[in-house]
Amino acid sequence: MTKFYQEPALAKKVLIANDNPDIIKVIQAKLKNEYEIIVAVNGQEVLDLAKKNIPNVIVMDYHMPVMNGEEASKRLKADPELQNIPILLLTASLNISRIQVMGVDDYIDILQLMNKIKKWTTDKPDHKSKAS
Amino acid sequence: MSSRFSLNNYHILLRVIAFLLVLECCLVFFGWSFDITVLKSILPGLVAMNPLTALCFLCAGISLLGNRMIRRACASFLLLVGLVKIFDYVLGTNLSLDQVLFSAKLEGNQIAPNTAMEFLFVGAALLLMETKNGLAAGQFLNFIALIIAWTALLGYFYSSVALYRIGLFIPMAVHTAISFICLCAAIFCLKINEGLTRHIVSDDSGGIMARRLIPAVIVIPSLLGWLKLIAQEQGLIEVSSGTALVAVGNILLFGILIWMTTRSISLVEEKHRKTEEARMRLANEVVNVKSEFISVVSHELRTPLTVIKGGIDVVADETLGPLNHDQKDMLDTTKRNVDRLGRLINDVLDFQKLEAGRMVFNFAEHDLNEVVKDTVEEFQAYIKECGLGLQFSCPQEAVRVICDSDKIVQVLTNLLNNAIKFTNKGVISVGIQVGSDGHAKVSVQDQGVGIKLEDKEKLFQTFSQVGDAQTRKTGSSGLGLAIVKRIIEKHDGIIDVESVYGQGSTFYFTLPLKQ
Repeated sequence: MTKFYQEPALAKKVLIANDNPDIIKVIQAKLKNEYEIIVAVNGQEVLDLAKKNIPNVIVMDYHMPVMNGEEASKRLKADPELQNIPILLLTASLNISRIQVMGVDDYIDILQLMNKIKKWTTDKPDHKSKAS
Repeated sequence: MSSRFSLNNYHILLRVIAFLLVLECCLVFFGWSFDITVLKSILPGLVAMNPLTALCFLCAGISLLGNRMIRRACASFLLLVGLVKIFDYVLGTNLSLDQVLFSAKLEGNQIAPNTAMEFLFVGAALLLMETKNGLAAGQFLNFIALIIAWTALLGYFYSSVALYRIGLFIPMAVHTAISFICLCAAIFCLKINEGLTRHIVSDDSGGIMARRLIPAVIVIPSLLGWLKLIAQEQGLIEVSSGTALVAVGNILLFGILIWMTTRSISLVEEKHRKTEEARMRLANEVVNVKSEFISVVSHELRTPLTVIKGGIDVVADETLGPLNHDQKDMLDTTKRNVDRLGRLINDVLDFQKLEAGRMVFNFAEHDLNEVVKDTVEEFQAYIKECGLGLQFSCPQEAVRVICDSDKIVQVLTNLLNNAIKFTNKGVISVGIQVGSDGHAKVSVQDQGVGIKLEDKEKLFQTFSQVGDAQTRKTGSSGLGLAIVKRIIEKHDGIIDVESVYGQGSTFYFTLPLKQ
């Protein structure tokens, strides 16, 4: 868990798409010891940074300027180079019926952040996974 | 339209006529006293108004102004005068009721038979209109009286003696005819918004039509007939062409009038329609604003909550450094309350969405066993933590239902949380049964405090508080079961509870099986 135990170059990359600096701060605090974190503040930036860095997983917010999370997810899934990157929708809403149409792979509450990221970056993704 | 024809105007008209009738009586009496022809008969050579007739008009005027008692008394007097005089004419007797006043100066003047008839009708009309069931009949009698008076007046207008004079008896005086017309109008005004006349003053298109056309129906043919008569007397036209011209005139004037009336009715209705449309638009807007409000609020409330939850989590799992016991304890308390706030917000927003019909349901075929089992498994650890036992039973084969699995998970989560909240020790049993009625039944049984019979009714209502203290302690929004009920109803299922107070409750819901 210490910093020099893990080679930075080998660390898995998490792309966080969110326009709220406080949420980014919290996620960074939570993940920075184990993952390399890339931050995008709008949907367009997600597409650009995903192409450049090929992250292991993307944590997507729905409400973002320029391009929202749904549109960005759809475009990522339409790109053959990027379509295998798991997209996790960060939401506090229980009404998550729309994830199938939004093209994201899973939805997470912030408390499940670490578990789900671990799951989606190590295991074979289980597409039937459910949120509690 | 309505302001121009307010009922108040009719009452003013009524009072003015009543006052004029009283005044007329005084003038006629004055005329008889001092032999002033103008007051007695208006034009020299015309028949004078009998003093008793004048007295009757005085009575009629008072009856219009008076209360029920006075009105009845006056109406009875009119009726009596009419009856006695007709009795005289029919049987050839002479009770000489109309010879009592100014008997020295009368010179054979008496009440005309048509005048007597008029008093009979008017008196009966006034009496009938005071009764519950006779209103329409009274108004009809009054209408007949009006027609008789109008006929007499036209007789004077057209110089047709037969119209105002019956046989060789004394004719009705011209101002008697006019007075009757006014009196009948005033009697209509008495109860204008009841019985037959209520359609005339109504605000709808029928009322507009009636108010426009009735005066024209009275005036136009009378006037055209009179013009025709003049023209004939002057030798300008023959009888046949005059009659034809009257017909053409009637067609022309009524055609124009009806067209104008129809147009204004159309305009009024168009206005109504536009108002209605505007109202609908406004209602839609309100719904839109409301749903937008819900979505904005949901986002704005949840975002800071996410930050708080995440922040507490980062500190609590000691990512940022070790914590002592008290610090951890305080963070736990904080976290519990943040979770509670999150649930409350979700409940309120879910409920709003359900109420507005904006909740999206993704119905698909699912194995109910799997859906329930997954949920129960996720609760396993928590139930154990609470010191409770857990039992789960389901049929061997798959239970196929059409449902929104996320919503069913939400329902089960709610029921399980309730079961845990209200149970101190014992076992929580979750079961699935397939009924013979084409429904699958999912039940969640606890061994908790149970529900009193009288509380059962309000359990599924919004903001119901079953056992005040309990509810507050367990921190529910009071919406949970109301939401659950609506979700199950959306699935065409039912939800209910069986409970023995003190021994636990069994909540169950049904879902239709896939055929």
